[in-house]
Amino acid sequence: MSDANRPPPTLHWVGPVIAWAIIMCALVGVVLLGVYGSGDLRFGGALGLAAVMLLTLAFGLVGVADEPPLMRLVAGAAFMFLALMFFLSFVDLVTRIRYH
Amino acid sequence: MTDAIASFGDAEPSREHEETGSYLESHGGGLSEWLLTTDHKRIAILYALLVTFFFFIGGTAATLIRLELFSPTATFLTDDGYNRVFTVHGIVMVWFFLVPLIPTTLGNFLLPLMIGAPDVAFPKLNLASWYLTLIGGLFVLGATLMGGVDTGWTFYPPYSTVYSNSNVAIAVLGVIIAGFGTIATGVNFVTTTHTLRCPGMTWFRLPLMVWGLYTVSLVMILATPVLAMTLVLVVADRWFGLPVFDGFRGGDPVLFQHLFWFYSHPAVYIMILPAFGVVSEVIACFARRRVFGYAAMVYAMLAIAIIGFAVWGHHMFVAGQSTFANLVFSFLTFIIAVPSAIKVFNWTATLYRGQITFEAPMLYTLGFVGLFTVGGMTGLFLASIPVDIQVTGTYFVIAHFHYVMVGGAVSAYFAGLHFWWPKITGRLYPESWARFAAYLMFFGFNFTFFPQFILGYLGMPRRYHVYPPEFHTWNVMSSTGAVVLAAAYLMPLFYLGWSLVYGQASPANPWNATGLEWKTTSPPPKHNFATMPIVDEDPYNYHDVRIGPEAERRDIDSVRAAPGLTPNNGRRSP
Amino acid sequence: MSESAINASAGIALPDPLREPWSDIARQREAATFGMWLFLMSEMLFFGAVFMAFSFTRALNVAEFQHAARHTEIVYGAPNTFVLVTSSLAMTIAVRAANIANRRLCARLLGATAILGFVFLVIKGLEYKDDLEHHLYPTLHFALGHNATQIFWAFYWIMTGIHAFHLTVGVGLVSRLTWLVHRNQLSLRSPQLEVTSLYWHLVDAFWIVLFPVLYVMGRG
Repeated sequence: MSDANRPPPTLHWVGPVIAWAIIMCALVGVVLLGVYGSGDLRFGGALGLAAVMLLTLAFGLVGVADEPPLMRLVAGAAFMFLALMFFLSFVDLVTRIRYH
Repeated sequence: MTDAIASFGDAEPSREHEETGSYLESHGGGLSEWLLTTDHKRIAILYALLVTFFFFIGGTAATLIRLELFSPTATFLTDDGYNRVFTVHGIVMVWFFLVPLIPTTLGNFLLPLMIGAPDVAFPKLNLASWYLTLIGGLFVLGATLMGGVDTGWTFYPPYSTVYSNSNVAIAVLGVIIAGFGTIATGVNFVTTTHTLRCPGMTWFRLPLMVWGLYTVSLVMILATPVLAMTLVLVVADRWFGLPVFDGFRGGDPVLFQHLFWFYSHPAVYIMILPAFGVVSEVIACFARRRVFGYAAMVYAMLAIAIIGFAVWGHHMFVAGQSTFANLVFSFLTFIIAVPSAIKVFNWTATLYRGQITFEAPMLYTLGFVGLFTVGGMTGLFLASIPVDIQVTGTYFVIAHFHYVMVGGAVSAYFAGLHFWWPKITGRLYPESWARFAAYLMFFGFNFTFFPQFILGYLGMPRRYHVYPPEFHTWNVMSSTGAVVLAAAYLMPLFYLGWSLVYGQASPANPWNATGLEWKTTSPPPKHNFATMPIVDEDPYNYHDVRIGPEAERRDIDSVRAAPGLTPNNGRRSP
Repeated sequence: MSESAINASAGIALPDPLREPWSDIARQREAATFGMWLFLMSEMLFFGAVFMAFSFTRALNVAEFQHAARHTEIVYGAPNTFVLVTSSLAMTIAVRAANIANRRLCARLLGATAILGFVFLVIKGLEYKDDLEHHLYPTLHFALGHNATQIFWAFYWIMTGIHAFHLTVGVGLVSRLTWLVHRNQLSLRSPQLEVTSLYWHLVDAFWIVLFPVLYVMGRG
């Protein structure tokens, strides 16, 4: 087998560590928001930072970009159906008449 | 790794050696050979036994309901007892009969055969899902034996979480467990379809049965977890006193209905999508025609699978949902009628100019098309808000969904069961008995459920066993029909059972049908195919696409004119 | 490929990772990964449903949810996030170590992953104990009264409880893999490593959303 003649493969660990560091920074941000933030800043900021952490996890640690397109489609489909569930349920909630 | 190019199992010599016997042949392992099998065909049979068992549990409950309704006054059931009986009927029939019905029995058996694979992608997981369904079913049976559940199959809070004094949580746990079995089946089927198709079996050469199983698996994977979580919240409320759906502490019971119907409306498509697949196979075979608009059929199934997730609010028109949301859901519900209609029109167009013969599977299938159309059309009535508000919670709704689920899904199951019975068992069933049962089932079904449309329109509410005398006639009609229907359902048990022992041995392809499953022996060997099949033609290649059915028809006419020849192209004569 | 060749020359008999109906390990791995992604899709809907229920109820009771969320302890939540994300890092590098046939490193990192998961559960247990001492379990003796604050805390217990259940399963799976890899009883080309890693990341991802939602966002 020609594989045996190849140089020993190296461990690519830098990418995941960078991703981990980014998530840690975002975590510090979330904690700071939790302690010092207020109102809409805390609401939006925490949501935004959560999205950053999630995306970094997906691309940096899970390596979604390296997966075949089909897997990305599957992951995307889950979000689509979640969005559908949230959207149509909230269509009901926000258009209800409140009597109090 | 030189074998990295080959996709899978190109018939190694060691494997061919064990291919001699059929999958039914015993290897001396006794019962454990079946209970620990990972062969998709044997698991299909395990599932068939399980769902048949649950069909008779649910059927017994249905019989009690109809017997009780013979009379406008209470006869042998108390109010509470009646609640428990219709709840068992609902839970068992929905989750332990209709949802697993076609995918886990016919689907498990046929999916690998139809795509030319030796088994499903995860054979052990396949067996595990059977056990999950079994355990879930035992929970529900346990809850029933301990006194039953009185919430109705929908488990609406706050009744189910706070007030009900019955075994709600145990039944709910059973449904959750069986749900994970359903998810496992879905994951298995989708992976199998993606990774195990034989050479030449491209996506648009898949039989529509495979498309039906594929789309239904997607719905199972996406919808079932939402039900699981919703029911977890119910158990949390019930056992741990949490207030998630408690209106007195700020919770919203309507939220439960959103989550519940986010699953339970797609669940209707879980029941009907594989039925679409069966029907497409049978109609093409017995009309000797290519399926009309194959690609449109595929896209219609995908569209139904996706849009099915956006219509759930039509179950909540009177539940306190906002008027605006009602309009949105009503509109979306009308939209989903379009792909359903495409399918019905395409089946009809497939029949057009075909050489139709009326063997039992075809009779069941034609019954399906008619009953599903009635069920679908009355669904449009219910999608329309003014009509729905009038008939909410009446027998109109009951009749509607029984037309879709029983007239539709169960008819299709019997069509498929008869169609593939020679392949599954290697025996031919007695045709005239089967035809008689098909006619009787169609007649009994309409006899039972058509009066319920009228009852509902007149205002008879569901879930009551004491009713005003003006409804008496229609209820007696319906209950009498139920007796006929019950007899029709019992018949296959006898003549199919008889055929297992006395039936004539079946050739590999008794219907002269297309499809890979007919290219292997009946019953198939353990690994399905002695050599790897290779596909080089379109599905439903019943006639040359360039010549068209006209020429074929002239052909058949000349055959009909010749004395002593059967008109059905050399297939088994009736 | 190298690993089986190395092991064969070293005289170690590894169990064949190939399972029916496959005859090709690459294809089998692809199918296992795809199957896992489908399960993850299902799990996303599973957790998505409870997030929907949370958001829906919060929109009905904003003030009560804000009040209730002030009683969560970020002192537990933040370190736990740190622990769990670090475990995901270990898991990722463990799979990469397996892909280059470094069995020793793979076993160690898998072990680290399992231990970090366990540490998370311990911290969570301490937090639960603290919550119970503050009467933050929504029953009769609930600290914040008979109102919608109870629902926030109901979601707190349900969501973290289900997450902890998933994590417990994950710790079990990873511990088993650690043992098998360490004892040379699992081929590094087995699809189990990749599949378990995907599951682990998913459980981590749920926590990443849970943490801001329960500990931070609810206050805003």
